[in-house]
Amino acid sequence: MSEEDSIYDQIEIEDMTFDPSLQLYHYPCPCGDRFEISIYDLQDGEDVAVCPSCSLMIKVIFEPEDLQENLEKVPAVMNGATVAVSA
Amino acid sequence: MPLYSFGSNGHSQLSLGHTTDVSIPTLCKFHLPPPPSSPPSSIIPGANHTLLLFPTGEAYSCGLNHCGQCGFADHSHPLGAFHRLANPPPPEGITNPSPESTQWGFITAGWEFTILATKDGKRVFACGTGAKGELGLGSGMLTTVPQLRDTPTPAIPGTTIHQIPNFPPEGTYVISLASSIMHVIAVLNDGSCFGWGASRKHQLHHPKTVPIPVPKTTAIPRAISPFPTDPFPVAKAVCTQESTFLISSSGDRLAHLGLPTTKWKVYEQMPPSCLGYVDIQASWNGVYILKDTGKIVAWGRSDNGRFPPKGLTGVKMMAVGSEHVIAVLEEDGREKLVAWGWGEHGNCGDVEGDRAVVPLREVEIPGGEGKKAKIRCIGAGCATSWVWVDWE
Ligand SMILES: [Zn+2]
Repeated sequence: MSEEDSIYDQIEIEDMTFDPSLQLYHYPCPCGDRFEISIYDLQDGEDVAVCPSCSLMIKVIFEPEDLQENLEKVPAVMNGATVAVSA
Repeated sequence: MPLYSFGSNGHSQLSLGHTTDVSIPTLCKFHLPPPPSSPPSSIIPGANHTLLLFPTGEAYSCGLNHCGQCGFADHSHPLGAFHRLANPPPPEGITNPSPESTQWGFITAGWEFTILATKDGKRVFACGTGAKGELGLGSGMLTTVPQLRDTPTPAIPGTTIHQIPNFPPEGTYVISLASSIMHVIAVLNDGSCFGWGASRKHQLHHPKTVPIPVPKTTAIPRAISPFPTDPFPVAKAVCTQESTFLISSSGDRLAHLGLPTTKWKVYEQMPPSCLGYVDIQASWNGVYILKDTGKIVAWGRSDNGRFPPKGLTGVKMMAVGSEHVIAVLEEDGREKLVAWGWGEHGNCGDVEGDRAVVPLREVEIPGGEGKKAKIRCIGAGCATSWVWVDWE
């Protein structure tokens, strides 16, 4: 299966929820769990959010400037792509 | 009780006393007191919690309760088995309340929330959480856990269930409730509707009557004005993730609330009517009508075997989940349970091989020992499936 086939849906970042403590965006998955992607992965240009409980993935539709407001919510010490984010 | 479940079970939403997925229908557990011996009128799944509503007005819930979505005040752990919920208390200032005012009559569940109404439809309650206003309790109360000091209405004792204030309007009552994972629609006896929750995709507005700017979220019930022209009294609603469909009592009229251009063409493919409907339900991006001819008409997202096979007839009942469907077929006087769609968690049965695209297949219900299965009620949620069977 190509990656394109395994993309369940395309979701606008505005429809996702940002969790500042985990520094990730999430969105409901039809299995009951949720798709997640870290704000730093998005900043690095990745756009596929995965569900930890099943094989489905979504493609996040966003512009880099969409991240700005939420990057500012992240505690300053964590802010920046050089800081490792634990999984 | 002869209720069986199978599928996704990470938070004990299947009421099996554990948190492992199962692909074979398995008998559900009930905490005492036992439920009625007659089948529920509906099985209502949320993301990771499930409710049962019985014709007696009793409600049960199980599964994830971390934000009070099961209705129980103790939110420290999920409910591994169905527990009976408290009935609604008598309305304030009423000395001789009618039984219908102190029983549950309508329940709908979304992602992490539950909306309940009394049998007389005159009071509506909410529990759980919804950042987009899904509780209808106002923008100051988007969750029932942790318990706020000042809430618009008190919780029913021992529960997280709060009444939605000032709703429905004086003199009206709820005749049906519907929800997607993020928005709620209440239909009233005068044919009007109210909605709350996510509204960025115009879920609560006809494309021609959308206020500018569009409210992204709506935290208290708002009257919907769905008809720029030619209105009809609404009897029922169904919700896909980003759209609302309103249906007249006979099914001769259908209206769509949502963007004029929709994902998976759920609006563009909408039929002109659904005359002869027996049941209408929605998956996350599709709508399914069970007709009195025993056929299912579906529109919207159709890839990966989501639609029923062409020529399917003899359908007695259907239940539409997030991305799968289960149905009861009658063939030569024998009932059988079938499932199709996305079955990754075993929610389409014990499929060998690819569970991502499951063509229509029979799901055997264990037990019965040669007796005939009479299927009374079915349900389908987020990769979960349910069936209440009487063995005769
Ligand atoms: Zn998933």
